[in-house]
Amino acid sequence: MQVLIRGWSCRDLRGGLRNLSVDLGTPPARWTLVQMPNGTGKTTTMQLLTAVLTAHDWTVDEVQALRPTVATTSGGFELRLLVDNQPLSLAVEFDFVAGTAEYSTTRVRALGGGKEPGILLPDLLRAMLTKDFARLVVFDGELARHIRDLKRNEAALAIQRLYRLELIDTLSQTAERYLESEKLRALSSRAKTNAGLKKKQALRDEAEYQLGQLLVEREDLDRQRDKHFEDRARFEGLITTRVGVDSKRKALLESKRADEQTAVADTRAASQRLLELLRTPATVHERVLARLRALGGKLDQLKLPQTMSQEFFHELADQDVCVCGRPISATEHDAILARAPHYLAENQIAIINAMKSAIRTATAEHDELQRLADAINVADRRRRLAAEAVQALVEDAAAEGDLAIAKAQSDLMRVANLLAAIESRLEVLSGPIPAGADAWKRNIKAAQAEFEARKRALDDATETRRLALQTAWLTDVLHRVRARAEARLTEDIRARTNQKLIRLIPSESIEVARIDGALVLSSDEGGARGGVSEGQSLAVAYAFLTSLFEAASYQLPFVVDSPAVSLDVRVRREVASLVPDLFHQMIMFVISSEREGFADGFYAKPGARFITVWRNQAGEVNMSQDLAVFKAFHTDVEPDAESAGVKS
Amino acid sequence: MPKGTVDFFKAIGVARADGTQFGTQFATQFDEYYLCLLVGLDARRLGQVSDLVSTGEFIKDYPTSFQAQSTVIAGLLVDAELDRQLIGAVDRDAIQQEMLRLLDHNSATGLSSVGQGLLNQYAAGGFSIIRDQLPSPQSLPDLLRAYVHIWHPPDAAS
Repeated sequence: MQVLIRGWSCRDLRGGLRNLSVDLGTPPARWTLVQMPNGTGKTTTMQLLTAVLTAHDWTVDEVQALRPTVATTSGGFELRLLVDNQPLSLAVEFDFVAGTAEYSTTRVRALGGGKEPGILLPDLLRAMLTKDFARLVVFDGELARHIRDLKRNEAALAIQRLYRLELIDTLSQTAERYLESEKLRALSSRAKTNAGLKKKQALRDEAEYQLGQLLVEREDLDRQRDKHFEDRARFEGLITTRVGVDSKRKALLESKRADEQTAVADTRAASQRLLELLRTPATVHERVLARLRALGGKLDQLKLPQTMSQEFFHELADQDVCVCGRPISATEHDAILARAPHYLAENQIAIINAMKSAIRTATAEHDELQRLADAINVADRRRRLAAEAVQALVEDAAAEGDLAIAKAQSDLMRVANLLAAIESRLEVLSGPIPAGADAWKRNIKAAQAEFEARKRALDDATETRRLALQTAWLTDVLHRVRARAEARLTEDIRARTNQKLIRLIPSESIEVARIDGALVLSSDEGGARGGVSEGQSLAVAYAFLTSLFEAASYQLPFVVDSPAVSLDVRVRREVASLVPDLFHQMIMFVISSEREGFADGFYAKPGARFITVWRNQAGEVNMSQDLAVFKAFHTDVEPDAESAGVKS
Repeated sequence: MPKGTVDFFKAIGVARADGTQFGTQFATQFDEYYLCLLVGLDARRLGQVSDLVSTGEFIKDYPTSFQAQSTVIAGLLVDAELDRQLIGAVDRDAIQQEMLRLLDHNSATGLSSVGQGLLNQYAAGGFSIIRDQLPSPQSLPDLLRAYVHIWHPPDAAS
């Protein structure tokens, strides 16, 4: 599916958007650079673009905020699209008196068509264009600078939506629905036992409801936790800024924080390795290994396990004649059977042989254990010293009378307490099954087990057990297919992102270590984030977004605000050379300072469109599509209207 | 699980089933059980059944990271039981009977229900030793370095 933006129009809206119509041509230009200084409605245009694409639910306050003057009673915005080469317009009409917004869609259809109420995008597009996803298509500078602060699952969700992984879930749901309808049919056809079945159904529904409640609670707690993490980062940032007023102290603070992060990363790495080693019993101590070897030797010496198994004697008892040639009567038969349990069964023999084999190959690694324990000690001491030094610097700054630091420290403490409470509840919810008969009311694993047990009871009662098993098998396969598809897509996008980062930031090794819900850079792995500049963060954002979209079967326009403002000229040139080919259509809102190194890279591109919007001295908004005006424009100098072919 | 382990290891926590980790945590609750078990088997310390929390069958199967060690764990149990019951090294019949009692190839752990019950009791015995020797750990690194010291006391090493 291909979506292109043909243009947009604004009528009687705040900022410079009293009467502005932007036309991107037929067919729409692949690259459009819109130079809009502050105050000409750039942010509002971005907001309106997102709103009509996502059918945003406007509040009265939001509508009122768009009202240009008290005397204005209505205003509107229209976005003109081409969806698979069919024109489609999305419009919103604001009633400033009532504080309401009405959407409408104008489209061509075989039957009907014309203007219809509501946002009527094709189903596939509507399902994809959620508010979060639209942020990646209509991409504002704020998100660009904080790409790594994407909400916990935003990057992963974008991948899922763009590559339609939810279709696999739809298959599972279809199978589940079919099973459910079969159960209902069985329930209604068994009049005699209806009461018992209904009770089982009610029990299952109760457990399903409880499980749903617990999952919702976990989601809610996760959201709260994310918010507190954001707050914590904000307060820490505030402290760093305030402490950094003194440049010497700032340098020291950054260096100590970096030390702390490295020490945390070292501690984690050594701990994981040590835990892995401990999971092999024989490595723990030479005494354990010696005992295991002695056991192996003892068994060998005693010729255990013996070659004859219980099964041999069971077979022998059923014979008429013994291996020694003597007949086996009822007395011998019973005697042989009575003694058979004294011999190991074949399966026990197999396990003893496996045990002996494992013992033979086991080794002790106590030196490595000691080394890792020492490494943890050293790294932990380094971490403590660095943390103490950071704390001392903060306290020094606070002692100099900086009240904002003291406040931020108290806020940090409050957030830490809230986080501890949330994590404690999450532990009960998501941790192992606690003791007690009503554990399923508090713990997700227990609730899942209870739901499964009750579901099985109902399946048995409705004789749909076989179908239930088949459905479970199918669902499991689909689940695994989805997980594998998601993992491969994610890895592919990560690798593509890193390839681009090598080009964008060749001087430093910045790479995406994981896309684990959000983007995690290698430098984040140690703990707190640091060491990545705003420009580098933006480069990561572009590398990720272009990688995200380039292999998708959807071709969506990419609208971006201030794409290069925080990049240095060299990175700008790289971004300007990398990004254009990766999007089918790009609309870039720029300011004059972004021309050098970024916008100028588009001057020679055939079909690129350059729009300049400014306010004249009378406060009216003017627009020019002349490249010369675009090149020469300065915020504080109004272009010569006549030579620029200005529309106002 | 031995009673009290959840509280004792509380500061460490277990990674969530969806892989979310809040810090350095045990990958599964079995890690806690296993660390206790090794100490209990080594010390031949059998805890009481009443020291265990009854939450149904805790171990139906070992987690993936432990499956390769299932036969070694079975071997350690057999060795500890032979020692605890003072069964002589040459008493072939008694040793064979112990194996009959403790092993079952059909179970995922390779242990019979009797063997499984005893394993749980050794874990409880090990937990009581750990609790006697260590304060409740504040983090996984904190626990691991202390745990290595239980096995290799600093004095003995120097």
